[in-house]
Amino acid sequence: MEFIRQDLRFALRQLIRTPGFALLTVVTLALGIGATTAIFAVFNAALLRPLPYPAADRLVSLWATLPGQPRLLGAILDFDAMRAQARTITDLGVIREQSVNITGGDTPDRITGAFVTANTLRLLGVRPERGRLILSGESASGSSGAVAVLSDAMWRTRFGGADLIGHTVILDGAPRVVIGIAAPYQSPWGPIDAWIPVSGAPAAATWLDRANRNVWAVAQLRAGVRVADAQREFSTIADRLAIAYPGTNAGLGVRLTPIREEIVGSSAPVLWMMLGSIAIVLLIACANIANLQLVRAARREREIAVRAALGARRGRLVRQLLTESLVLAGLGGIVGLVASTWLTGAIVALIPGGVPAIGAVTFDGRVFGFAAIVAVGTGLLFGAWPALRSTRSDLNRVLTVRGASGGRAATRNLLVGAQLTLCTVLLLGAATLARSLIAAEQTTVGFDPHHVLAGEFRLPQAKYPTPDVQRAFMARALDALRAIPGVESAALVRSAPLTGNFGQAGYRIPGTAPTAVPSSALENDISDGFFHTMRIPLLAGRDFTADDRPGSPLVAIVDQDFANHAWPGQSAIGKQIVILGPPDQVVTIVGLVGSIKQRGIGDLPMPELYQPLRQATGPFVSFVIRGAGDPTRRAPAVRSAIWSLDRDQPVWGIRSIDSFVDSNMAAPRFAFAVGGLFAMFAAILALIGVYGVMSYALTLRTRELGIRAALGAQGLQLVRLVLGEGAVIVVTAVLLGVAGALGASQLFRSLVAGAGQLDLMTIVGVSAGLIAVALGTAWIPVRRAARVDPIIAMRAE
Amino acid sequence: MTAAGEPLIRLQGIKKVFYTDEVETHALADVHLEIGQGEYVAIAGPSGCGKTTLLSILGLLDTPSDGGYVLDGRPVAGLDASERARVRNRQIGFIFQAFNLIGDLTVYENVELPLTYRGMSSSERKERVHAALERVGMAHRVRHFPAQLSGGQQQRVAVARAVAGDPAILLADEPTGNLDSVNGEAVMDLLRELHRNGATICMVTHDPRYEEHADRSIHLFDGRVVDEQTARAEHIP
Repeated sequence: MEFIRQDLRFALRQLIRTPGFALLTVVTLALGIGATTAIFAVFNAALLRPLPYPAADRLVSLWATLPGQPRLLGAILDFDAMRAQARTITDLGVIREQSVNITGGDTPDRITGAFVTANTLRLLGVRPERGRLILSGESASGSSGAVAVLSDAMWRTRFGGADLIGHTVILDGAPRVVIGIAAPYQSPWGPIDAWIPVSGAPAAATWLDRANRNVWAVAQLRAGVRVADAQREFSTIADRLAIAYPGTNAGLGVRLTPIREEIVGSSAPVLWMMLGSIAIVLLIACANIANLQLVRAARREREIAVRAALGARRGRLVRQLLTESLVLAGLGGIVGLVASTWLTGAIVALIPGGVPAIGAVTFDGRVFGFAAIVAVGTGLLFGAWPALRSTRSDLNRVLTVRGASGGRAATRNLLVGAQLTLCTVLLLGAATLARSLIAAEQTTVGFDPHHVLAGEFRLPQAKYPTPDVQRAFMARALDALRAIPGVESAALVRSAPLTGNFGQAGYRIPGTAPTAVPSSALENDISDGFFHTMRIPLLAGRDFTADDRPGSPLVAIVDQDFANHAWPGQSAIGKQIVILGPPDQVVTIVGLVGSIKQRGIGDLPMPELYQPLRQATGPFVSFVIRGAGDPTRRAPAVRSAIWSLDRDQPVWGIRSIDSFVDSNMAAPRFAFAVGGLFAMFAAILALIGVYGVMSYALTLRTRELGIRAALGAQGLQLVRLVLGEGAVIVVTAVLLGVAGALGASQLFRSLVAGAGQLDLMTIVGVSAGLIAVALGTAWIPVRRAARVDPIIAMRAE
Repeated sequence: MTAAGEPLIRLQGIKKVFYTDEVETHALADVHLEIGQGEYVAIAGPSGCGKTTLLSILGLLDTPSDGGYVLDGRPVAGLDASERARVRNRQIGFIFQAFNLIGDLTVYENVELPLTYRGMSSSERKERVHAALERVGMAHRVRHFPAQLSGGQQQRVAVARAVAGDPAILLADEPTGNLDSVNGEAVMDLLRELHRNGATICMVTHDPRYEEHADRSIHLFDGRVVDEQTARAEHIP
């Protein structure tokens, strides 16, 4: 114990006596450990922290699939059949999240509703805070389902915590009795404001048709059953259903996803990339500090040798030196931990769409433990090698011969080379992201997104029960929107581009035999004026008109991708397709338009077909309006226009299309920002390493350079000599980094969606740039050394 | 412990060969040497004759290429690094030409250092450190750092550090080499005083004046013992 106290005392004294070194090291470590801990805190919240659901590790989601479409809504009847037949699960419930209008207060509002079966609530661990949950009988088919369980947040914010049990609220225009208030809770799919029996969903009766796929499901695996085993069983059941119901289930599969994967989704690779990148930066920082430690150790060689001569065993000396490193790491860890609390907030704010986790990002025991392990680990990492090396000195030489040792140049060169190699990998990764980002920024979306305002509303089934009534409201709504001052054009559309909404439909060409897996295309329903409003070019044929109404011949407009796929080399105008139902509909193509990015900027092109909204009316619709200036300033006028027709009709999601474009770009911009920031850190640290190593190496070679100068070497010759040796390290390290980056590029592309290929131009540009900057950095001490005065240099020894 | 009549140190056929760039350098060749308990031996010779190499082997800072070394009745030539450290700590006190005090430690801590490696209790260390510093006349400077002392004072502290652990032998490598003549004489007086009180000393020097302080002088040339002289009677305690 006393030894430890002595070591600590001496370590602290050493640091106080070298404040510059101590400060530089602690700040470097604090940044490295702080950033690593902050990212781990996010990682922990998303991927490690236990989920607040019963038997969460056995909870899975179930989505229908078609070839190439891994995440589709399924039919209630199919999930019922799976529940009855599957032996690998204990229970299965269905769920459908959907916007719900809540009215009866000062203003109508849109909330998030979840239409569920009673067992879904049990599976997801929803608990009643007041009243009770939904009973099986209330969610069974045939029941009115006219009850609701409100969330704690909804109950408090909208109803002020009043006694609501047994009272009625108006949801989607229909009265529902509040039977319970759920305890604070977050579902895997985000906050839910109201839980409603699936039997009470709008047009619930039509959901009991295999052709209507409206829900997904959750299930709990039996203990000991692996997801893969359950997947096999469910796929077998899906195959049986496809044979039994070929008209609706041909090609239809089912996909089981562990619930954590469901929550984290595509964010997991980004989190891994962030953690991996910061780990590389931390490694580079460790290599830098190890280099500094080696230089210090060289200066302390005599002290260490004296201690050894006085009887200190090597283990004792290593412990002493490691104590100094661990004290530095400890200080860096403490400061880093404090910094990480701030950094975490910044990272959380920067992640597009927020952290994919249940609950806030907090510092729990795991995060503190991680910070402690990282601090100790870095201390050992940057301290162990110098400690082991510096205690291996030849005592006889050190104690009896004057002058500093230069024997560790190889080690220092190796460390700085490793830094440059890692730095090259990160820089190439960042450059790839930059090129991908530039490519994404330059991607044309196929329409003019500027000066367009979008929004959406859902007509409550109870109030607008038939297509005729819905169509009438929409016609008046479109007129009202077009009448808003400053609006140049307006249109209605089922799924406005880039908003995240989209529909799909299967189709076939008449006269061709039905295939097991039908062709599929994006399907959208639009009013007249949509293409004009969005500035989508009409390439052939015509736009929809008022004559395209119910009862008139069914028509459609297709985009260029669709035409190329269905009728390559032919005109699409006048051709017919069968849109698969039920019921199947034969439609005639009357127009051809340019292809657009419907789902997302980064998505691959997919054929799209448009139908007239008046021939395919539904309760949900979006609007797009174009006018000069900032489109968002028209939001109040839009609400007023809709409320002038129906005071209880909520309008939500009012945003400019430009903002959706920005949202689409957020992920690649974030990936580039993170990758670029880490690469920049790495480059700075590596260049500091290059500078430090060159400076120190040249200090050791002062006498040699002095002799060379005395023998007549010119300054330029000395520069060439020393810089040439540095260039070998730099070029070798960068080439190794290029090889590493090429090796890692496949992994990198699999981790980061949209990351491009590592091309020759990027490799050459980054490598040449890094080599030039590294040699430029090395040139500073080299130039100084080349001006050596032979007399002074030789006296220095 | 050395048996009655046995020398404290016995070197038999010690050789030391350095290999550099395929060149063999014979620093020591077939050196035989015995040093008795309480003896004061000077090792002299021209620069490069192997004095310091011999002292390094005696101090277990270096290992011989061949030959036997018995210290206090125990063969030590083949000991591993850890055991050599233990022997150095308990049986050998070093006095270097360059003092080799640790700049970040106070005078007290420098003298205390070998005792801490021995695992000695704090109270015993304190007692020994004060006693050693009293012997060299530096007890009033315990809180000073080496940089605050003159060269002569630093060497006296180094002597205190060497004797604090009560070693079997003191090895001094040109102890006056970095000192002016006044301070050099003072340090030599100190060593003589220690010798009078029973210390065994082996000192490397190239200064004939200081060689005369020793009981016996061993002259090296090209790594071999070429002459051995016993000092005048008045120097024998």
